[in-house]
Amino acid sequence: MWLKIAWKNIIHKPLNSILCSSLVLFGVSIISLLILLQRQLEHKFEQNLNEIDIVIGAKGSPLQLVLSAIYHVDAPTGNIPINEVEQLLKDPMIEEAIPLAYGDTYKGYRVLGTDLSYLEHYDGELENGKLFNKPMEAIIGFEIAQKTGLNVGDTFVGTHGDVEQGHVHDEHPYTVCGVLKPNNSVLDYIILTNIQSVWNVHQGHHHAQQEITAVLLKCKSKIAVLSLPRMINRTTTMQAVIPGLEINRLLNMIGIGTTTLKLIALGIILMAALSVFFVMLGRLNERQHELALMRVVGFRPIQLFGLLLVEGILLVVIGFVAGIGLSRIGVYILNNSSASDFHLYLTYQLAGEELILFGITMVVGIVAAFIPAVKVMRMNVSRILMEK
Amino acid sequence: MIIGKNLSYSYSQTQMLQFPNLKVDAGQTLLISGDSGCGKTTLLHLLAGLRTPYKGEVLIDNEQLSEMSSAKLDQFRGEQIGVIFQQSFFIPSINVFDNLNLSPFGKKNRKIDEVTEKLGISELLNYYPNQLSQGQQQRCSIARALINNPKVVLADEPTSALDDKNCSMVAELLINAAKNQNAALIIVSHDYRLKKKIDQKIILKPIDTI
Repeated sequence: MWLKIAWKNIIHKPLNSILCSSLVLFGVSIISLLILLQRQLEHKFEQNLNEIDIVIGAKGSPLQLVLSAIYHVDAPTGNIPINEVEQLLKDPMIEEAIPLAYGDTYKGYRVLGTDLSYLEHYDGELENGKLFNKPMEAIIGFEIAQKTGLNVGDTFVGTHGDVEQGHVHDEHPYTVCGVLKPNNSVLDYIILTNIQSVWNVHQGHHHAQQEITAVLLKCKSKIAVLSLPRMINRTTTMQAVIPGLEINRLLNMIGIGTTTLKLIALGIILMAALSVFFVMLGRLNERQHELALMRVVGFRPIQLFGLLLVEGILLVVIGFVAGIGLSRIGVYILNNSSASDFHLYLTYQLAGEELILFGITMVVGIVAAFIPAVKVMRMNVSRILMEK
Repeated sequence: MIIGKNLSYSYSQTQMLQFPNLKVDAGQTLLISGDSGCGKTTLLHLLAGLRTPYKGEVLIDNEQLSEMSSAKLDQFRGEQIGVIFQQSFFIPSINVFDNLNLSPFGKKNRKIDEVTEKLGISELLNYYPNQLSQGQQQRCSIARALINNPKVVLADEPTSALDDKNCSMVAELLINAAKNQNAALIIVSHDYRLKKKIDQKIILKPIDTI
């Protein structure tokens, strides 16, 4: 009976209720979307970092080097000479080194010249076909196969650089020799070939011969992780970056932005609390006779107190549920717009922080309804019923 | 049966209302009349346990209201006392059926079908209060007061807002329904049209000031 009366009271004055709930809706949807975005960013960064200790590349922005070499979302800082890299790799502190050579893209997906250790590093497995073992053979990620329709035996040509309008290398077609299983990492959206393929395609270009773009290193010890970059940066023309540090710096910068937005959204939810409070307080006057009537037919003061609290909670819960719904629409839109640029796929699943947000929203509803509920509990039934 | 014994009520230190003793047996009716401001409604609220008397006691079937805890009094009022007001108060957001069924004690002993049929409002159950005429509203108020099969029905000016035709019909419905249910009925009213239909009458004097 309680819930029915509370619900009917809410829909009886739809405009007031929509005002209260929509403020909660906006606040919750913003915070929820930020939670999902931040969680997915952190997860993606951590997953793709996959124990890479150091990235070596051309001098330039350290963050740009990390983003391009590990996450494939930024332009490379330049190329580095292979002989200098080979010299460096003799260092006994290095456990594993994965060379990377960029050059082309196909329909926005990067063609990466490397060796099979790259595939092993990310635990890549073939869905069909075979691994590349000669120049101009390529393995494509699962997403690329899905989106472009390429399959084993098909050929394609790369476009120079990472812009779709670049020079098309018609004379050097790649042949797809294998398609990877879904891996939920960078492997899903990258085309792998050997480094010789990249050099073959760019034979005529000024920067082509005997250069690569970057090297991903795993070190044998923590001391090596700290000392190697210092040595490389001081004694070579290359730069060495610890990707974990750069990503932490990036996440901190993003964190400041998302924290600010979350605070604004929390402010909106607090405004919602005020609107619930004023709407309920304002309606008490016009509802006092019906509430007095409820006392006459046997409802106890504590039950009316509960009724008002339930109404306040219902208002914010409606806003919360609608807010979570709106954030999922936002996730759908983001997934369809950011996917090709940043390869970020937000999940629709409820995050743990959203349950905390639900708790906060409930508290907001209870606090907002508390004073009107106390007033109802203390009302003088006889005096109200005597008023004409 | 309801008894009001030596009842008095104090609004302030200088104003004291003293009421005559009253006793209404099951199936009997009492009309309390008097000038405006003489305390008719206050007496009714004392009898309903909505106000606490300064002195005196109210007994319903030998149970003294002032000795009940607040929770017990709320429950007792909800189950044993039906109250009808001059204005028909309803919860506007729920329909007539839900308004009549309004109770925190579940549906025990509730006779909605029987009472609404007798009062001729069966067809109004799905309507909302704002869709009813004044006469229909008052009949619904009577139904709500009687639905629990209460021992006492208290009515505060139940006909004062009605025209002659509706007044006569509502009064007759109320009195007959109360008698059929063997409830003691007390009507507070200065409506002269009711006088002929009631068993006992009390006329309250103006407020005694001390």
